[in-house]
Amino acid sequence: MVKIERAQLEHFEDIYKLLLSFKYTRNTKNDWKNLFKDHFQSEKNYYGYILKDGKRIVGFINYLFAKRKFNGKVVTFCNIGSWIVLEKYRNKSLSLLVPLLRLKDCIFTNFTASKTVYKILKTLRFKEVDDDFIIIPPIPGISFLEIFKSDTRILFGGRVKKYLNEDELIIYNDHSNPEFKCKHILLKDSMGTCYIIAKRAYRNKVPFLHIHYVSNSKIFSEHAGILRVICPFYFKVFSIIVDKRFLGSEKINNVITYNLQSHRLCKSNLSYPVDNLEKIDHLYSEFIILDI
Amino acid sequence: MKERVYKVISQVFNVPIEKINEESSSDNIEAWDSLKHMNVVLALEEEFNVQFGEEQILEMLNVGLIIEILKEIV
Repeated sequence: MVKIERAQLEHFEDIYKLLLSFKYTRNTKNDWKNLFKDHFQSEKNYYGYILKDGKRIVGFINYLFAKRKFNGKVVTFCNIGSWIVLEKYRNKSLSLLVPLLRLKDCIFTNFTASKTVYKILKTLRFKEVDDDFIIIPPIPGISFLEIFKSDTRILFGGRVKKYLNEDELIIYNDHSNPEFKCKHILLKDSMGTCYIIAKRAYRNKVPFLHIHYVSNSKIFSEHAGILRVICPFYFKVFSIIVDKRFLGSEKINNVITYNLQSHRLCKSNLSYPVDNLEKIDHLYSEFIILDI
Repeated sequence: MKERVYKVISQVFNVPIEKINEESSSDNIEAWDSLKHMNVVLALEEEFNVQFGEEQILEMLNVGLIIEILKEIV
């Protein structure tokens, strides 16, 4: 008989055998194991659900919980990912989503939905968020000269900390686990600061700097000329990629716009309307824990 | 209602309508996977001009249950 139960660390070895069938992944066993830790103080004691046929695990979905401040309130987030079910049991796949829909007061996200998952989540009333992204190639323009202005600075790693506000410092601490390999960047000028969190990521075997969080889209856009030259050199990547929605209405010149093959979706079942959900970043998601 | 549901199920899964009954489910219709399940939901919503709740969508485990849920909301 096929049934579902909560995924715990003790199931990891069996689940890992399933996860190995994901193609094109650069994740190590330890990366996958990181999905089975409560990194973000969620106080949940499980990591998704497994589908079992007798004692054999035949399916898994990861629920990555986090408590984070969003629009000024602390909210539970649940990022859904790594959904895998053996072909023979695909008629039971949806049962892994049943507990998710019963969770109260939660914001759900999925940033890597395949066509199938996209259709399922859309039918379950998830909303699409803009999944265009832009490549900012290292073309030095005149704006690069801003680096020589005395009031414009770019800082990396732990040096950014002293310029972060209280909320940003929480984000920094939550994303500074060395196993996540996050890159912390700060742009500072006379108008203020822009805190950026990014990771090295490979697209078609080419290394990029994938930006997952931008605290100030205006400062980011204004100083894109600095980022596009300094970051590829500093992080040894070909170029920068960033989801277009992180920039709001700001524009950057000389970029290439792409549409993703995977989709980004989200849904809130909070008791109050949530503003700016369509601009949700990738913090506290599988993008941070895994090598995606 | 039953006939209209059977017709939708038959069309989505490409199964002869005479083989559909209230016990029909993912256990006895081979093509009934998660994606096709969503196709059934969307086709029923169009056929009956209704919108199912998320939990109802996941509770439609067989044709009999689909008819019961539809009776509640139509």
